Amino acid sequence: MNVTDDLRRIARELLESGRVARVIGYEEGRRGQVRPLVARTVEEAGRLLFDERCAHNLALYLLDFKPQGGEEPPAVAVVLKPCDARALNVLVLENQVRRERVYAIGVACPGIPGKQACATCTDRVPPTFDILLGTPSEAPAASGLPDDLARLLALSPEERRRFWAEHFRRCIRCYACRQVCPMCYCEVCIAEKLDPPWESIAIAPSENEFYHVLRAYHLIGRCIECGECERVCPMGIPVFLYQRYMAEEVRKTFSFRAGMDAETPAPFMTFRKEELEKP
Amino acid sequence: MPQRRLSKEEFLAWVGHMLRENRVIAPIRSGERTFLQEIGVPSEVDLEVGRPTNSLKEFFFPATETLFHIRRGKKAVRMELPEVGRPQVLLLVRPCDAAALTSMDALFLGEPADFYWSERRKNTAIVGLACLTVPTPECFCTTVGGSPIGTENMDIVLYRDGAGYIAESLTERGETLLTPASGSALEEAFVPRAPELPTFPCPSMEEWLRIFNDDYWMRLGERCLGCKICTYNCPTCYCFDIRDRGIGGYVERLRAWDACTSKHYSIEASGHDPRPTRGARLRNRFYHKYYYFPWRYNGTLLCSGCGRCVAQCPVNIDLTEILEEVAVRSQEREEAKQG
Repeated sequence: MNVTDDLRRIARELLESGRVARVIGYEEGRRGQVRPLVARTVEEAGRLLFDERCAHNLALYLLDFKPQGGEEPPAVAVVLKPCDARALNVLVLENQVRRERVYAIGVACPGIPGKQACATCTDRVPPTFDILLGTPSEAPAASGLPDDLARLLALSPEERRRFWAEHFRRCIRCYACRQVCPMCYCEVCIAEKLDPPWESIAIAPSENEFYHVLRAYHLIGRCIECGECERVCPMGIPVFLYQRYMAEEVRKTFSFRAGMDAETPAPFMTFRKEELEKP
Repeated sequence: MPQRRLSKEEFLAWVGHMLRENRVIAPIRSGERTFLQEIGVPSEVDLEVGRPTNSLKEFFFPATETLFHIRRGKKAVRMELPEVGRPQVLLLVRPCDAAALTSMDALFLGEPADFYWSERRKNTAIVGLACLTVPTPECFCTTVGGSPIGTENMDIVLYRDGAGYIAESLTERGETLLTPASGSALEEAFVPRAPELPTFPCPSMEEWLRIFNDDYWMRLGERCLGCKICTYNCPTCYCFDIRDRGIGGYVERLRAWDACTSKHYSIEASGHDPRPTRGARLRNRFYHKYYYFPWRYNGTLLCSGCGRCVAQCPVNIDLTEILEEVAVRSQEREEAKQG
């Protein structure tokens, strides 16, 4: 069975019937890679494809179809791997996207070869979809912490501090990790607020560290572990490493993984009186 | 001066010599990437360098720098300039990166000249590395008027020769710098041959003008992430922001990189944003390089064809493809007009 053929057929039907105005998917890039495509026409739908190069998390582009000025945005279809579908769930939970305006074309995911986040991922089927394409492969047994995280945790706090200082020193704050993250949708990121300037415009180790720590904390219980942040980093900073650690802590402590459904709020986004610490 | 053949060992010994009196910046391998950065010892140099991830601009125009400090003294307020322009050598600089300095000079050395750029430029020697083979698949320097064996702005040019190099000084500064190097003089001069590069159209300003309102830019914007990878690692993107900050008793005026591809860059004081979409912002980047800048600086392009933005864009926004699209779409418009 060919996922691409099915995808093109469904996309054409969706666009032709007027059920959606856009199909967000992947197309062949110029140099052997694939790239996102927001298809508008039946002809453009003919360029869509899905294969194991499709690393991008397309849920990000749903944020371009938020209601603006009371105007209802067009309904869209989007191709989602399991982690991407988790992103959709979080966006729905956080009222950024209305689920009924999205036609989710789920794809069974074999894991993207060479992508860091996929190395220990066991999800093969998206947690939400309107149609599922492809045959899910057998999920591998959970393999625990990825090697790089295990190695990092084995270091002393001082060694870990040095590890991150060395990486953050190289950061140029291009904000690619933030821009590619479907969960980073703040209108104005605190790292770029000018009044008051929480963070200086300086691209320097201390400011870089502030930015990364801040972003890591803002994503606790919200990160859906797609690892796009690390994939896009031009400077080779293992950005996903700390997100992965945070996600692991949340899973251990609260038995919670972000975006497995669109109803369960994240641990740090809920407040229960009974959780108040007794004096 | 005659060319000189340096073995790998002689080259490294020479680097060691330069390190005594200069800050030496060279490509360094880190994991899968190579970065231009200051080295401590010659062995750190990545001799196999293709194209470093970062460009050389940060060694003239750092990502962040102090323009001056303002201190309140007993009698007066004093303004203090930081020390700028420590002697430095940039090693194994590719022709595209060296050529990029010509565009940047047009901006920073035009009247009034930028003190910081000008001081660093004066005190920097550039040891280039000619491209006898095409270093990366994204290279397109010849499209924008460059050459893989061009020596513009270099003080010394190196040609790869087995495990070592053939070195030739091109300026007096280069000659002085090369003097302590050992190696043997070449009896017969080595004449480099430029490798063949893929070529792309380089549309004229008129062609660019024709398609400013083409929907193509908005469609590109649909997949653009709005990050700053392409601008920050570009050797010719120079936009910056300036801001003051108070630190314990004095004020520091900072200059830091900024980028037209980012969302808040173009918002005006009134709140109006003349480039409100990713497509409009992305278009600005290309028009700056191929229209506004040459319009302002006698036809000088603000692009040296290094291919970094092509290679590093996470969503494959490919300048060489854009050049082709501009040429084709412009042609179509012209034909439609003439009916």
